[in-house]
Amino acid sequence: MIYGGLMALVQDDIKKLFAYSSISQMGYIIFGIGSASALGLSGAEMMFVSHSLGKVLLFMMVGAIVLQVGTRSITKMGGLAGKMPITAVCATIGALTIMGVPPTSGFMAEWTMFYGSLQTAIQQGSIIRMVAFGLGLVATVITMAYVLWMIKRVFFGKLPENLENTREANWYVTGPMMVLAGFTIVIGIYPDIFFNQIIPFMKGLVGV
Amino acid sequence: MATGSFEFGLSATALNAWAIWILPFVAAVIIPGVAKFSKRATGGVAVAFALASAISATTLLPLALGNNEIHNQISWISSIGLKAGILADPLAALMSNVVAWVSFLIFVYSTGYMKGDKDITRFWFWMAFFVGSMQLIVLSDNFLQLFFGWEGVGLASYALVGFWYRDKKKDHVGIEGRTVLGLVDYYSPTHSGIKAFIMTKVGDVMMLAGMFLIFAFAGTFGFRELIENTNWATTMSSQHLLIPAAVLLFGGAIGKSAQFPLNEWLLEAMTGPTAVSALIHAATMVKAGVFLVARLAPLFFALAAIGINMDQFFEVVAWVGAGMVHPEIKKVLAYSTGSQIGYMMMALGIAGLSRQFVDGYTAGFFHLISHAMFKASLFMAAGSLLHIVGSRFMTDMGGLRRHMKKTCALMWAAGLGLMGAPFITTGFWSKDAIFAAVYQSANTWALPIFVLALITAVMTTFYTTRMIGMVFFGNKSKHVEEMEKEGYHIHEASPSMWIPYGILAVLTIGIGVIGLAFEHQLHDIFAQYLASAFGIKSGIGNVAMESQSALGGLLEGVNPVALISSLSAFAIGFALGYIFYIGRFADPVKFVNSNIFFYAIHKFFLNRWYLNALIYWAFVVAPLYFARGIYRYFENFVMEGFNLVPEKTMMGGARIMQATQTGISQSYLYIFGAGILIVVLLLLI
Repeated sequence: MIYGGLMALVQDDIKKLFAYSSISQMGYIIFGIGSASALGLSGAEMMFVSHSLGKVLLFMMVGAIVLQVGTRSITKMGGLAGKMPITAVCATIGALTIMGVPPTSGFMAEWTMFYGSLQTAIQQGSIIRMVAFGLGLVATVITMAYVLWMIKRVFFGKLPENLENTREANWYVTGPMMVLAGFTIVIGIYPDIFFNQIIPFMKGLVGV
Repeated sequence: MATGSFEFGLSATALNAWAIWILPFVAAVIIPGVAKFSKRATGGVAVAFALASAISATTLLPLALGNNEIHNQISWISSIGLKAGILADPLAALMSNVVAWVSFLIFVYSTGYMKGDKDITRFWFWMAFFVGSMQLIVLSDNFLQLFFGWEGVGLASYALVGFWYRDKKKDHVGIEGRTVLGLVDYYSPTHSGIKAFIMTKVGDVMMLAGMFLIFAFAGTFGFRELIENTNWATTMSSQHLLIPAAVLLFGGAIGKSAQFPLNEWLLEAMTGPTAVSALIHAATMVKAGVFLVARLAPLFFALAAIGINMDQFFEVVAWVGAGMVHPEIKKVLAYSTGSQIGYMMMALGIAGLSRQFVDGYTAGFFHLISHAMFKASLFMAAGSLLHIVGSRFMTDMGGLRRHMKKTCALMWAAGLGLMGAPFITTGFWSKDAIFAAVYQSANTWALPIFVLALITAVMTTFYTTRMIGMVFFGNKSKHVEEMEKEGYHIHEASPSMWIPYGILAVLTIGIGVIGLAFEHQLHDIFAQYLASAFGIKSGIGNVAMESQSALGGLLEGVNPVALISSLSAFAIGFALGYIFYIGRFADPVKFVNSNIFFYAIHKFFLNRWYLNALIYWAFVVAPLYFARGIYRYFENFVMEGFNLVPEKTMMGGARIMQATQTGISQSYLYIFGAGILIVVLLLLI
């Protein structure tokens, strides 16, 4: 989790950044499964969904940008929020999902997962699990750092002169992004649509 | 509960309480839609919704006065049995009124301040979102829901601090080219936004851990449920987890309220529009931390009553408060918030240590109210100053009192509140209450804390006088003279701007005149509330009480030592400020340079205790170097190298195989023959 996050922090190629970010996120999921508690497993499952939503949003953003700007290098971008507002908003929602900030589904996934792991740690009185829990929380801060920094460098700041004529991507690109962005927020506020199915199943699985 | 009402399912009687936080969110959702028709109408919509929310908040006031509460829950995450709910007890009711009305006035002010900004839709969206999140924090009945609001204000502050995302030069804070410990002391709005979000997130993560620890033992996030059944606390305490959990929760409050050592984001948060700064400092965000402590302190104090020692927790609170109460002499208002919040935390902390929990609690909350009023007023007034002068440096102002009489008078009024001018301002009474609470507490640390608080009071008065003196008195600065030469007429701010801060400034004085009575009223409310909800009666605490409530009669309430100390603090600070900056009998620059000691202190403060630079080195620069190093030498060298091993092996194997595939039938035949020979020989042997 931490390694992937740190690597993502220093990438210039925007696609590579997300690839490393996925490594880090998969670490979260394994962390959740490792907790072997009903809530941790459900959280991991939820993370699966939420990570796909968020990451797909971000990759769609990359797609839209590559299409409109023609480069994948972060250093060559900047100030695109004014030119591509819909992409910027959807990407920010995707970013919040990855960071696990409410009201996106990412938060619901992360808190159940972390709580699940803490529960196991306390039940078993295991110091190692406790430390893992703490490190997991540190990882969320690193995640936040690289995602926010990416957003800042891509969308905020000064617009490079050669990008003066950038335009918003067309509806075929932005439409699906908006649908996904809406979906992650709906799950984030009302996770029962998901949890109602998965938690009883996971409870059966771990035998509680 | 005295006559609490509890209902499950959204009930009509609780609708006004729900409306307080839902209305701003509704405004946020419809504002982008409204903007499609008319961008100018967005401000009107936001103000209307803020007013509606404020009126719903007012309907809770009778509740608070009668010590009733509304507790209303609906089903949320049914599979884990979590409920969402509203808990409008007296604390929440009072707090939500402060938030609602102050933010309503700030909204009115913003309609003037942000006029003509082309991103006005985004501004109103986040402002409404900000206030909605704050009200959500105030009215939540459980931790998880509170955390939604908690992150909501973080998110909104991120968006609003970095509002001018184009990072133009005029929106930066700091002085270009100045470095501290080799790092640039100059920040762009978007950088500051990220800094605010991440620094508060560090606190949030701690808070999350604390929440989970409690949830793991109590099985509930609800504040009411936690106090009703306290078995969880006994179990946790036996495993030595209760105090870590409390301290972790307090970490969240430290981050949000910009207390030491997570205080550095607040200064850069100045890059946002001034209305945003006013909102962050006076009504939302930094007050969220204080509110959380106010929300939890009675809980932990009540635990203390059942034999669990929470003293360490309160000591941490008190010390962090006192540590931060040293304000800097620069970037006056931002630091002053840090220090004033420090006062509130200190009062709440000392409440836990003292015999009179209610006194400290009241003092802290009273100071929160008065700070909300005068700080919002000061920020808005400062905003209109920079609006008109076009510069955020105080050295670019000066001599403005003849041109902006109203602003000058109002800023004096609010400034006197901040200084705690005797007898007529709320600031005086609330600060006095804190001094009294600290002085009377039986704790061993009370005296040093009291002295620190007193020194701070002197400094507060000094820097406030200095600010007003530099802006309104003395000669006009070069900047102002140049503007006038170019034919620019320095004028008073527009009514939509000065009326909001006028109201708050007048209130600071108005409530100040009846300050003691107001304080008693507040004290009564809290005494009843704490007694009925948490079983904390005045007079019951860690140590037995000799006298009745220290704030009993009208004049009994005034502690002579505290009163004399705060009077003299005011006098010293004001006199110093007057000499240097209003009367201008002495030149402060010469004075600072005259003595190496003063110079050193000045430099230390100017460089922000070097804390900011150290945090950057430790948590930004070092990890980045570390990650780059790993990327370059480990990821690219070892990992890629390791990836080469299977690749090269396969390649080698393939080459050998390839070499055998010659495509010439004779060579195949030779090999075929050789193979048969080997088989025959093997059979013979």
